[in-house]
Amino acid sequence: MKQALIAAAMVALVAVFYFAFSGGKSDRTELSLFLSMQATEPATLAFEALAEEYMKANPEVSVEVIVGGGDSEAILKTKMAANDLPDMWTTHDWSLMRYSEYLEPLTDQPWAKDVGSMIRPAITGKDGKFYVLPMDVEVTGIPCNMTVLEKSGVDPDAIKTLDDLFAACEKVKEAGFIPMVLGGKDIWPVGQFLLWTAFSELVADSGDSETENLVAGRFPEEKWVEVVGWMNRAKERGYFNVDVVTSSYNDSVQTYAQDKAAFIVTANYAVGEALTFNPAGSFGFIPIPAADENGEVILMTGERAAVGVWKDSPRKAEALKFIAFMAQPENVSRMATAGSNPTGLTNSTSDTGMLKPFYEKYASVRTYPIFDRAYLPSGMWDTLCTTGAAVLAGSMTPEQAAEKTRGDFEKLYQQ
Amino acid sequence: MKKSNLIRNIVAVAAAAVHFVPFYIAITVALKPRTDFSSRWSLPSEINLENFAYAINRARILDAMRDSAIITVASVLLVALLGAMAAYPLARMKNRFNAVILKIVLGVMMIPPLSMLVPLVTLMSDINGISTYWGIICVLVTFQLPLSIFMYSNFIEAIPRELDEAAEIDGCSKFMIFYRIILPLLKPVTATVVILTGVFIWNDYQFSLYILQSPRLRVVTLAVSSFFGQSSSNLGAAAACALIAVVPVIVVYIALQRYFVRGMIDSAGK
Amino acid sequence: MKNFEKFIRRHMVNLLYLPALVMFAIFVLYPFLKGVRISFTDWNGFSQSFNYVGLRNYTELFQDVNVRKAFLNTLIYGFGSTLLQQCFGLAYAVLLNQSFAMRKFARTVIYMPVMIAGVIMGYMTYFLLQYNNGALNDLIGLFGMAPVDWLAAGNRAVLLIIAINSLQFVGISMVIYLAGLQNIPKSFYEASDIDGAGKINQFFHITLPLLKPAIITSVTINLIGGLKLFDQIKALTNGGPGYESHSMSTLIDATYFRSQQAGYSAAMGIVLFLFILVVSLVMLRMFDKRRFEY
Repeated sequence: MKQALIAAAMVALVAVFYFAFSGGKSDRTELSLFLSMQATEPATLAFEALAEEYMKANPEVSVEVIVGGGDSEAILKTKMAANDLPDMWTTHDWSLMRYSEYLEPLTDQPWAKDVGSMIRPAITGKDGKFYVLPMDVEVTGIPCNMTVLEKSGVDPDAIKTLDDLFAACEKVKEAGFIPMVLGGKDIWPVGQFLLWTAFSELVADSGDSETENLVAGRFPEEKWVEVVGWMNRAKERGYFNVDVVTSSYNDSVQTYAQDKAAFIVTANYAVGEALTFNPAGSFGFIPIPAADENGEVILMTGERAAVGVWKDSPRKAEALKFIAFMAQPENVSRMATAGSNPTGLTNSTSDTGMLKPFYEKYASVRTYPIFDRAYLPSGMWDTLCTTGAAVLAGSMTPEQAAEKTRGDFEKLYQQ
Repeated sequence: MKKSNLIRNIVAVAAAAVHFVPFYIAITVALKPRTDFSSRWSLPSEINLENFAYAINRARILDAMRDSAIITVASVLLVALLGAMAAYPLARMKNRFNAVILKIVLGVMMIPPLSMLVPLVTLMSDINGISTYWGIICVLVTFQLPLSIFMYSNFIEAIPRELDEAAEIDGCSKFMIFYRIILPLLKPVTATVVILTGVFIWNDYQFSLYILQSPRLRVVTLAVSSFFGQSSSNLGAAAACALIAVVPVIVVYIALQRYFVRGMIDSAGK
Repeated sequence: MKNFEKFIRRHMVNLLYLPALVMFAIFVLYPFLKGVRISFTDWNGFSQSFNYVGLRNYTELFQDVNVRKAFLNTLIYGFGSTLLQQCFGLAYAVLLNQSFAMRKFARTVIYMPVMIAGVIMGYMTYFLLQYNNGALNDLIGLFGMAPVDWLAAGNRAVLLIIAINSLQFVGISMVIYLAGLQNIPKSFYEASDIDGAGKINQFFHITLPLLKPAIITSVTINLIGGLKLFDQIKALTNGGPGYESHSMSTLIDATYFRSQQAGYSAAMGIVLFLFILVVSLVMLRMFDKRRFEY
């Protein structure tokens, strides 16, 4: 027994040193590509397939795809702090506000001229530079369950204003379904709801848009009470699921997929996820309604399979070559099709799957970049999420939430 | 007598059942496809191994188990060795300085790792310790050492001093006493230290998450977390992955259980 | 000179803890001191630039109601689960120290959850407690009761997290107490049997006092686990609803990574450390007392 233990210990130690010093001595250039995704997502598989192909064509390079998983954002933040980043990573809507300090501008790349007009404003900074290859675009409104809407007698095309949306919710509720399902445990879906109402109240309102004030550092606190007020009223009228503060995003997608809820408070990617739970489901989306009849309905655009390159990477040249490979029209098209999203480059097309008729129907609707990233200082996203969550939990009134939001806005604006 | 034994059996099995519930739920979740929304209690109508296939093919849980095993074995050896070494003077040489050292040890045991996570990761990246065996082993050993020192020093204190004194009269140096007399006596408590810290190291998530960044070196908790994402997650596959990962730990535990309780007896007793 | 040599010879053996101290210095002390420096800045946690703001983070911290709440919760998690684990651990140990058919089986199964990572246990028990399709709601549904959103009320969420944490780690206390019980010589009980003392009397007058060393070991391990509790909270409630179930650990995490206030978060970490240091000093006092009694 004793000898066996000692032998095992020795073997283990030798193994450790073997592994510790044998790795990393390869002639190939090793590129790392960090994905803020999970292992079984179609986009992950598409990235891995592209990396495989690239390695076949370029045996001197190996591309290591890292599946970041649940805590990807925290990992990337820690790596930025250490100034030791992967060669490439997906930026999940934060290429400008969070990552631009560490990203190589890609504005001069040969494919840069092909970046579509829908995604261009969302990824371009004040200096006109952008930092990612947007292989697809997240064009999103409010995802809805067509089966539930039909059973409740709601015509999604008739929803033009937030009042219309609430009237539709009332009908859905009477029909015995959940009007809007929201997974508040994860906090960020709460912020998603406020993005909608903030757009309606502050941006898309044709009469008195607040965008100039926001950019100039003036926070419209009174209007923000309205922004949060919509959520508070939805809660009071019972439009959300019972477990709105305790359920996870994943729960909310399951509820939505099972034809139990009419709308889901996230973005269009919920549709792809819902189809994995219920392949027979019928899903669609509507544009974000206006605050009143004078306003316009809009869509939001953001990054999905958008990849940037670390500006201080010792393998930057090779990384840019890989980016150029991914930017080839057929590769962009494959990537966008994997995510069922419109493509990000104008020289390629994609199959958007179930949502295709909706993208066609709303092709003329104006698109905007995500609200907080376009008009609020960095760090405000969390304020939106946490104040919203506090209102849902009943520990804050919309007035208090607006006051806190103004405070944070002014503090962060000065930084 | 018979009747009271029956009651004891029933109570014991009931208690065990309560502690088994999380495992049972994980098993049913892992065995059902995503499209199955039946109750967590109900077993699937047909066995579906898709999630286990994901765990093995997508998360490469078997590779992760190999890496975890290497890290755990190496760390546990160091934790036991360095812990026993440090415990001896702390338990035997009582003076004010060593009392302070013991306090520091206990303090380290209680530091929430989060309060220094980012500087630690920056340090590891500066000394090229990211995604290396030695990097993660150093960190895990450091944070498990206090528990080991704590257990060993309690144990050594219970060893009669007469043993040391007799050896000292025979002309043994303190080091020799430690090596010849104390170390052989530490076997039972070592089983306890190995099991307690080994489980913590095998299950470490917080440090591994930030220090292991390469697909070539991944531990089991990272394999499980690869099924979680912000806009998509695969809980069935994660459950399957977690179940596979816990099997070796349970096997090792059952194998060492006897020594574990013995070690506890000796360290928690006297 | 001779004295010096004697001193060296006498204290040479202290070299044995040097490796451990070096590791603490590199991997704990150094990052910790850097953490102290961060706590005086307004760093967002990822940029290369930041400003020093003096003591602002600390003054804000003492007025922050969420911090106060999290602090209180940390204490409740720490001492609550320690208490629960001692009660159940001791009860299990007393039961499983008797000889009957299922005792080995029960010991193993009760210890099994200890071997699962906290994050995973958190998710497994989330399946148990969630409102929709949650196992517990299905169970009470069998008795005709309406489903309950278990984690929706802050106080109940805190208690449930304590229960889950205890469910997972009570095995450690159980083993320690089993060991302690087996260490008590049978003759003690036999003697008191002759004196005619009842079982309950025996438990309080013989068993408990003799278990003192076991109690101290068990309390120490459980208290540390409870005060550091993180993964289970994150998986079960994520600190919610609102800020109701945050512990200091989860709040530090959320402040650092979500709110991007690394400086503020670091200040919380320092204050938490100082507090825990006080707790550990108090506990060391207890050890010293124990030593005097021997």
